[in-house]
Amino acid sequence: MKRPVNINLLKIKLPLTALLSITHRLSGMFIFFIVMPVSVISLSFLLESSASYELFKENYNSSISLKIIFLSLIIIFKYHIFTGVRHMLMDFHLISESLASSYRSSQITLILFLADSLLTAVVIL
Amino acid sequence: MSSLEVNLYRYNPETDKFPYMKTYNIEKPSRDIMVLDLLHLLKEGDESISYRRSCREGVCGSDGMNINGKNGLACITPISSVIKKNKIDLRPLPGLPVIRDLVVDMSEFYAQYEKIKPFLQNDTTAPEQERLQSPADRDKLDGLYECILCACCSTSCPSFWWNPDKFVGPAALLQAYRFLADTRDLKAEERLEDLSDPFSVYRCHGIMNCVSVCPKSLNPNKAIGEIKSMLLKNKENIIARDGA
Repeated sequence: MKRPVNINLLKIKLPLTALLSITHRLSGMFIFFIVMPVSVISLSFLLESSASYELFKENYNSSISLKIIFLSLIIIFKYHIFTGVRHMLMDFHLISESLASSYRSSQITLILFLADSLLTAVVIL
Repeated sequence: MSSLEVNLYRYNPETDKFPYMKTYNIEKPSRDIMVLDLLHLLKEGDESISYRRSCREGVCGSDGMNINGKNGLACITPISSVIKKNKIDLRPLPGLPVIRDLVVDMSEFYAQYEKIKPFLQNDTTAPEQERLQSPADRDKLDGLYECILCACCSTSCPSFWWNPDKFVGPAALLQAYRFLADTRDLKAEERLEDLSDPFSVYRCHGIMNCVSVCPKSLNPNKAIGEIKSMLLKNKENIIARDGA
């Protein structure tokens, strides 16, 4: 007999630690499918000739939306690094695995990430 | 007297094609009661409501359910701690097949528990009275043996939702470590060998859902971390002994 299963993700509360882990994985997928191809394509365009380099530079410097696109790609990449390092520290037992310290490390990770994002935004824009 | 809105997950396989949420409005009790008491009140008005309960004091682990989005034991969860905007949602434990209303089929959960061989394995001759342990060695089992197998943790774990047949799950892994940490058990290497595939332990990514819902305040995540370290050590030992 086929029985129903209750998995309504919108109705199940997840702690901050879980959200961090899930978004880490989502950002990883985004990096693989979007950030990497875009970076490689941009790089190959940049390296094609000095004319293409100048063209890219010109467009990049004059277009705020292009800057914002690259900024978001970098920020997502950094998010993945920050949350990934936290996971590795936990795997090495360098952060204790209690609920309280896990929450705290999540909060610290987010604060560091936000501070770094702000800095990156200031530098790029 | 204010009223309380209870949204209950209903499913009767004989009459319903799909599960649905049914809203009950009841008078808000004058004092704080447990979620289980609330279910009793509802059942007085609608006898068809089904749920499991036994000891009603957080020892038997029968009434694990999803209360306002978070797994817990109905009998030791005061309604004051979960009510949001005078509303309370009660659903069965996520990820396990629903038999009826809040009653889930725990077979997959128990199968994982059976898999980790939850008993002491020691084939040396038993001493006259008992196998002794030093108090320090006995202390290693604290925080492990207290599990009541209510399934709140395993059914809050996404890895268990997606692979209930392959990922052992936090509850059974806590018990696996309970026997790995026991100085009287002599089958650590075999136990670790059974857990060394990519699914049994390694599907845990330490998201802490299990720890945040455990009604007994245990820490399966820490136990799983210890198992991972033991797996690594065990592999090193095997390589040192037999060569790569």
